[in-house]
Amino acid sequence: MNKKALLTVAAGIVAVVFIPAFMFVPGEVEVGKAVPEFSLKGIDGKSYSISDFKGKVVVLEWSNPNCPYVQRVYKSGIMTAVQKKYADKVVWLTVNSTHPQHQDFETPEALTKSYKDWNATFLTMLLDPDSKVAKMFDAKTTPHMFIIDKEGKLVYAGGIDDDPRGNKAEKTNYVDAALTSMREGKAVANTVTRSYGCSIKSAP
Amino acid sequence: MRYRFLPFLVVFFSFQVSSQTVKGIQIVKAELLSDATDFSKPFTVGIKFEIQPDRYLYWKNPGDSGLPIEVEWLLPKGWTADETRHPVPQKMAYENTVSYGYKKEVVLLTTITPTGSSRGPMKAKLDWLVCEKSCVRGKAEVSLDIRTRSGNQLADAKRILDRWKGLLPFARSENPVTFQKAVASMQGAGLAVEIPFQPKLGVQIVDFFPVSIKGFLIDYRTVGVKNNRIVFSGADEGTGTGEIFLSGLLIGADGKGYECSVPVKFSSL
Repeated sequence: MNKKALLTVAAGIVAVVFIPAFMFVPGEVEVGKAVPEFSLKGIDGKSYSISDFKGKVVVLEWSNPNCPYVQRVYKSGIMTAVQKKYADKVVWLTVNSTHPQHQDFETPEALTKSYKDWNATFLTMLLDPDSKVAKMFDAKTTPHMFIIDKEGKLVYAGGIDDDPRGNKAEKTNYVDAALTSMREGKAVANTVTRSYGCSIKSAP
Repeated sequence: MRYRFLPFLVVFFSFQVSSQTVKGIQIVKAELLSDATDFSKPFTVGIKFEIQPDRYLYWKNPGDSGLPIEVEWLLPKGWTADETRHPVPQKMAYENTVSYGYKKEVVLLTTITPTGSSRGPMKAKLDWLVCEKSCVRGKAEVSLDIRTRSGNQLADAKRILDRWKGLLPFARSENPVTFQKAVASMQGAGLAVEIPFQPKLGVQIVDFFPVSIKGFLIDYRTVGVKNNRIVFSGADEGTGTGEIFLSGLLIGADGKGYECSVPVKFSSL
């Protein structure tokens, strides 16, 4: 139900009243709500449905090995450290939504090699060549991270951390923080953060 | 009385150009420019980027994806550099993302204030992301040293800097609109805001380019101007500050940009 709020302007201040939002997403997925069913093929050739992982925490990581941001977070160990830390605790799925005619497109074999060379730890990479699932989640960048809780509800959407340039002495790894909170039975503090990275290459 | 002939200190310039190449093709060329000859007072320098066709660099707010150009000044002792001034960018919509940036060429401008007797060199470390279908990170160091420079080179620098000064947005003091009461409504789990304004006679505003707002996630696809209203949607990141400043550029029909800022106070229900 839409709520309209009349706003007052006082000394140049525009007052806005609203409910603290979880996430504005024009797609189907919203933080705080159940993630709809979807299925994709993995680079291993098998078909995976999100419902296969009911009862488990799932991390979705949008990725493209040709994106400098992805290269940096892997080569620096930022992504792999979190993947390794939660290897036996969560289901980690990377997702590639690169259009088959885009110059960044790589075959499943090439993708497997790239992430193996980076010592990535994930169950599989899901292939989303028509960006259907990317649009469902409103995934915009690589990387772009989403965490689904055991009940199938989206509890986090955003960046891997708060350091787009990779030059902060102290950075906050939002994914690590969220997963730690969930393991401790606490609410995720930052449910929505700004993602950074290259745009998802969903067109030629 | 004996006089020693003191060498006459002549101030000269030279500047170093840096290039980024991919597979042997130059995709970005960066250089430092200035037409100043009097270092006893503040002067303008420009960082000029020439960009391979079809590629682009990003504005200070890149939008949904990308990275703004970062400038780190290495100046003579005591010298200071003001905040970098960015010319009005163009909006680039791609699939479900919106970015702001520059194609072909851009010159970022800064005012340098010299102090003391040191006379250079000036250097700037640059860090950028240049994209077309794919993106490449670029870094360079450009310098402006004191050597011989011809009158033609000085004239070229002046011509370039004068042109790009004209492409800077107008300051907030020249805001051509008066903001009115805003209206907000819930849209899904987010917030949709409309800020009406009354433009001055003869001014037509056609778009709004926001600067990113700390603590508020803008959905850039929803940002624009409709019927003399800035419209945008987004979500609170939950930092609980209670107030945000919506700042950015009002874009005129003639392509000119006008800096503006509207404080927005919000509270939870």
